[in-house]
Amino acid sequence: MDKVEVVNYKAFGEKVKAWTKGTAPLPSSIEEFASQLAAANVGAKIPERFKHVKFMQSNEDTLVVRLPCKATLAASEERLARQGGSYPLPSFYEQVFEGKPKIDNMLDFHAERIGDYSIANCG
Amino acid sequence: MTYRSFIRVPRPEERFLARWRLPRGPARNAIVRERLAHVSRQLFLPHAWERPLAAGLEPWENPRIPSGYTYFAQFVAHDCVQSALPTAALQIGGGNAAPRNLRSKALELDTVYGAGFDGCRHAERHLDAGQSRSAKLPLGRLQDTRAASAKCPFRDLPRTAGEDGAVLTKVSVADDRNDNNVIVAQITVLFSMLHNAVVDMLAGAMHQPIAPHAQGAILHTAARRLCSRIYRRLVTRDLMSKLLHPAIYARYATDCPQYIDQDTRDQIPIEFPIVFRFGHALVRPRYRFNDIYDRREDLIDVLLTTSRGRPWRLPLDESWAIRWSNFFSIAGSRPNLSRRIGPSFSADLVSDVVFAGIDETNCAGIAYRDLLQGAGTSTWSVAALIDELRKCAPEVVRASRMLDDDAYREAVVRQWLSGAREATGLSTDAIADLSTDPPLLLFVLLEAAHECDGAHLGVLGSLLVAEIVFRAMQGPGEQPEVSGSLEEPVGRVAAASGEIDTMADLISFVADRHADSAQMVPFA
Repeated sequence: MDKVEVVNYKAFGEKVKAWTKGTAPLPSSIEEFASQLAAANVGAKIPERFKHVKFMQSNEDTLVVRLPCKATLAASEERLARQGGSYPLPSFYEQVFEGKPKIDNMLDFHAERIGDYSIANCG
Repeated sequence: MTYRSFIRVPRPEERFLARWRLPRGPARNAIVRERLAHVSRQLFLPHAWERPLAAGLEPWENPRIPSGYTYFAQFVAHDCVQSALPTAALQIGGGNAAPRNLRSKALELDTVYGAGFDGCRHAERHLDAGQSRSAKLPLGRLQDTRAASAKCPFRDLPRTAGEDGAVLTKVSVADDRNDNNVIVAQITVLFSMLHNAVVDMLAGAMHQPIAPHAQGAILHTAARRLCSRIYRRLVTRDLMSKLLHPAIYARYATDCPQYIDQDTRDQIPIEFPIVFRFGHALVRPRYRFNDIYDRREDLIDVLLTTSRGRPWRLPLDESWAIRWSNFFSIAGSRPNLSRRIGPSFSADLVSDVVFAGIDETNCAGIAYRDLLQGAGTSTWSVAALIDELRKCAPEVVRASRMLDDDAYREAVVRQWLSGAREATGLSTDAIADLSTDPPLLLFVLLEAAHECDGAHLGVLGSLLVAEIVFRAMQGPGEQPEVSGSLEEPVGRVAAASGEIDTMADLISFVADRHADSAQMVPFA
């Protein structure tokens, strides 16, 4: 199952900051979301199956735990169990750390990544 | 050698940007760059193809062009063009002196051989001038990360460690652009393997010994001549037949093509490197390299796994070893297909890691560089070039409505530009200027999409490529004739390689003559 992919994470991160701070309008549709990302040179790949976009913003007294799409999670687990080679990480990690990550157990690492991005709230 | 113009030098009013309504002074430069940056964003949006070209394909896939040809075309581009002035240094409107092309003669495999046996020691092996191996081109071994003691074939570029000695930051080839990505690197290896196979065949066919001190140079020179001939056949009979409009291909793939451009000098017209950048539209988002792992590699990793990008990953490992039937049609294989030719590039080509901003627009991505190159040289405007073709080849103009009907052409360009204004932010004035006077590359991409369904180049794009490529093939080339004791061996090897007309033929020929090539991953 194709997932949304981003090429320029810095540009995307700047866009998320602007939405958070209210300096850029939140897109009201998936088309506007795609247009805003294109205008910012994010290089987003948005599969056609996505018809809507929803934004959730944390505040000081509510913990938002973002759960992944159930079907996407199952597809990822199946794929990681089957395929070999390198773990598919965003390319900027390897460029920053100047080394190929050595990941012995792909499913363990997958669980750690899900734990990280579900709780970190990207602040 | 400087670039020249196609047919003749366009007058100032015939050049790209002449019809744009721009202020004079520094603001002109900024406005042109900003508009091109905006257009480049649109090139990273998906193109709305009406339907797939064949059942079971993605709408953007092109069954006519397997993806190996994308990178063979890149290799050919490196062999025709080596611009001395980087895109970042170009001035809008061609304010620089005439840009120089460091290639003195196109399609001689200079991109592999560099200055030749004596002049390019970093690219060639001179370990033992008394043996035939001194005539060969160096190669590097792949690595197998699954087993340290695995026997790995010589199927990578020769790479060496940098000053710290830890990782392979240097690539020892004549043209380091051939390490721009994993696939063009292995196309280069393929031609090096061809050369080495031909050297072995020549050495085996000789009945009279050559003086030891001269053996390497003589074998090398003879092999280069034979490989250049094979390569030229591959370009004209295989690559061009895939890329060009069939009517234009038929016009030039004859014994005596009628050239429109009567200038017979070896200089490449500046329009060629601009148009040939259409190849960036062919680049897929991901590729299957072989069957070791059940996965496809993302384009961003294809671009980064080089001596400059990720030296810590080199030499190339088993993930990257190309099984060529995944890139060319070989014995009924189903290769990765190129993208259809149109105004849309794979998203990874906007990467700010690989293609960082180069000027005050800070616009990342290869598309901006492509468009800027057209604005930074004194090239024809599309409309003026078509007017010139009306005079000297009216039948060509009549073959395409986008060439023959000015209002229609402008409407097609305007409609495309108007379709993504939220993303590009292009003003009405900008769209009007771009519609009447579009960048040549943008026109060629739109022409291919609009008139040829993206299956091949359109009439103008094909014409500009064919005129340069087929003319470069004329004449004997620069490699010297062989004589004396090598005459008969060369004739025998030429006969044995005379059946190589396609990349599939080349791969089969090379595989048969490199016994270890199929270690780790099948070669074909």
